[in-house]
Order: sequence, then structure tokens, then C-alpha cells
Amino acid sequence: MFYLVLGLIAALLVAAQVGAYYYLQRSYGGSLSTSSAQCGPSSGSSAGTNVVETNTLINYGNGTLRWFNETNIPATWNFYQLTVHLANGNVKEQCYGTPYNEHYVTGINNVNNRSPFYWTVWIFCQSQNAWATSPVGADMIRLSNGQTLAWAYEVPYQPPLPNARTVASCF
Amino acid sequence: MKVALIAVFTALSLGTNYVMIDLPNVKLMDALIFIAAFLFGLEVGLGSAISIWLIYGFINPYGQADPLLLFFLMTGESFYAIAGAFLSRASAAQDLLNNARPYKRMGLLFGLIGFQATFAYDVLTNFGSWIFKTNSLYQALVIGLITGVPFAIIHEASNLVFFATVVPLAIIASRRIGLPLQK
Repeated sequence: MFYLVLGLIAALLVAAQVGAYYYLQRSYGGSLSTSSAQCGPSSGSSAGTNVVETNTLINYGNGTLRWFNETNIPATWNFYQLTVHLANGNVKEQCYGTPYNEHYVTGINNVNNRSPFYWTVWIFCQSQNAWATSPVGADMIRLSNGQTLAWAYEVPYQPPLPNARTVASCF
Repeated sequence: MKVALIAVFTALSLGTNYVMIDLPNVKLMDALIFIAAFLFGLEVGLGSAISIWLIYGFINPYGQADPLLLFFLMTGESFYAIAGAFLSRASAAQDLLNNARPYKRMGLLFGLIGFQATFAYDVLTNFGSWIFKTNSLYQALVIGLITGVPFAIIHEASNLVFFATVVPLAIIASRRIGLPLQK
């Protein structure tokens, strides 16, 4: 009986975690991307015919803001691959292999993390008309049509645009 | 004696934490806290949990924890000490320790307890990291649960394995060398 109760509680907790994971996947592009799983330089492949149009802001933290509007990219790309593409490969990162499959971006176009300034990913939540920090790394953000994202070099967490509205999450 | 034990478990945990630093959320520390409390009592477990985070929370290549997060980390780590101390007094564990070959059932019992304590730790610490970024405690709980889930799954899966393998072996070995359980 004791083991049965323990097992049932564990099963409930597993179900809660699976549900939360599914919700997280659905909230950030339908499925979590695995297309840049390998460490090392990656500019992303252009395989596939589906294309999505995205808008990206890079705020260098020194008053320089650069918008890359209506960028057409393969629908299979994630935000890390888009970043490498926009920066012409000039992205510095630390790679975490399996099981994380994540790049921790530490520099873009020769602007590198230096405490207390860090590159921070922001997502524009259209439903709330506000920016939210991404709860997942750039590799896990699969891009959808019309999506707007930003990299901001800042003391976390200032809005990526001066005086822009922010929310805790897009949920 | 207890201070010496706390120092030993703190050193062991910190050593293994830094060795495994490239595997975020995969740590032997939680299992070691559980073992400390199971074998030597709640005070040793709690003392180890708090002293580990006093060091690991400040000297950490992933960054320092702020005081509020540190409070939640210490409280969460204490769950393993509480689980270890309570389980050492439970008849289920006592019966297993008196068995000749308790490995399978001990692995199951400790694995399940470790998994549940890890879930509680993850929920609490994820909640703590969102508490001042959200508009309500409920929102902090939900957002923390959802956004922390990839890391929580790795933490819980690895602890399930460690608690089902390392913990029973360590406890059985300590019994064989004649170490009595603290009451």
C-alpha cells in the first residue's frame, strides 16, 4: 500500500511535468527545435521550402539599435540560427551538448558579455502588446510567421526598447 | 562530531558539484544530503544543506544567487535532509535494512522518495525565481513550473537514478561497516 501511494504520487508528478513541458513546447513555436543540436559554428541549413518572415531587433546597449525587418528564413530555423545568420556568423557562444542542445550566446558582432551587461533574449507578445524575456534559450525558440524578437545587451532586465512595456511572460 | 560530519558532507558535495559543473542540474549533492540525514540525523543533513549553499550560492560559475533565491535554494535543499531523516525512522526503510538482500526494494523506495523531494525542490526554487517578476503568487507558481520544466525533468530524472542506485549502496555499505543509524 505504501509503495502504491508513493508510485501514484510519482505518476501524478510525472503527468504534471509532461503537461507543463507540452504547454511550454506549444507556447514557443509548436515544437521545441532540435535543428542546431551540434556544437560548433552553425549558420543553419536552408533545407526545406517553407519560409517564415520574422522581425528582429538587436540593441547593442550603447544607443545603437538595429532592426532586421521582414527577414525570410526557412521555417525549420530556430532563433539561434537566425541570430548567426543576421550577424554573419559573428556570434560568440558556449555550447552545451546533449541533453541540453543549447548555445549560450555571450557575444554578438564583437559586443561581448561583461558583467553586469549580458545579451538577453526578448520575445514580443502580440496578445499583450508587450515584451517578455524568453524563458528558454535561443535554440529552443522555433520561429513563426510575423514573430518579433530581440537581443538586448543590458543589465538584465531592462526593456529592449526604451520605455517599452514588459510583462512577465507571454502565457 | 556533528560539525565534522557537516564539514565532510559539505566538502564532498562541493567537490562533486564543481566536477559536474558542465552538467547543469545533474548533481550528487542532493543524494549526499539525503544520506547525511539518513545516517547521521536531521541536524547533520540540514547543516550540510545550508553550508553547501552558503558557498555554492556565491562561488558559482553560472553566477551568484541573490539573497532571496539563496533562501529558497537552502529551503529546497532542506527537503532532502527532511526526507532522509524521516525515512530513516520509517518502518518501511527499517524493514528493508534488516533484509539480507534489500537492493531492489530499497532502490525503488529511495528512487521514488528522491524523485518526489526533487519535484518539491524544483517547484519551490522555480517559484522563488519568479516571485518578484510576476503579479501574483499563483502566477509565479505557474510560470515557474512551466518555464523551469526542461531543467526540472533533467534534475528529477538524474536524481531518480542517483537515489535508486548510489543512496542504497552507500547506506547498506555504512551498515555493513557497523555504522548505527541516528535516532
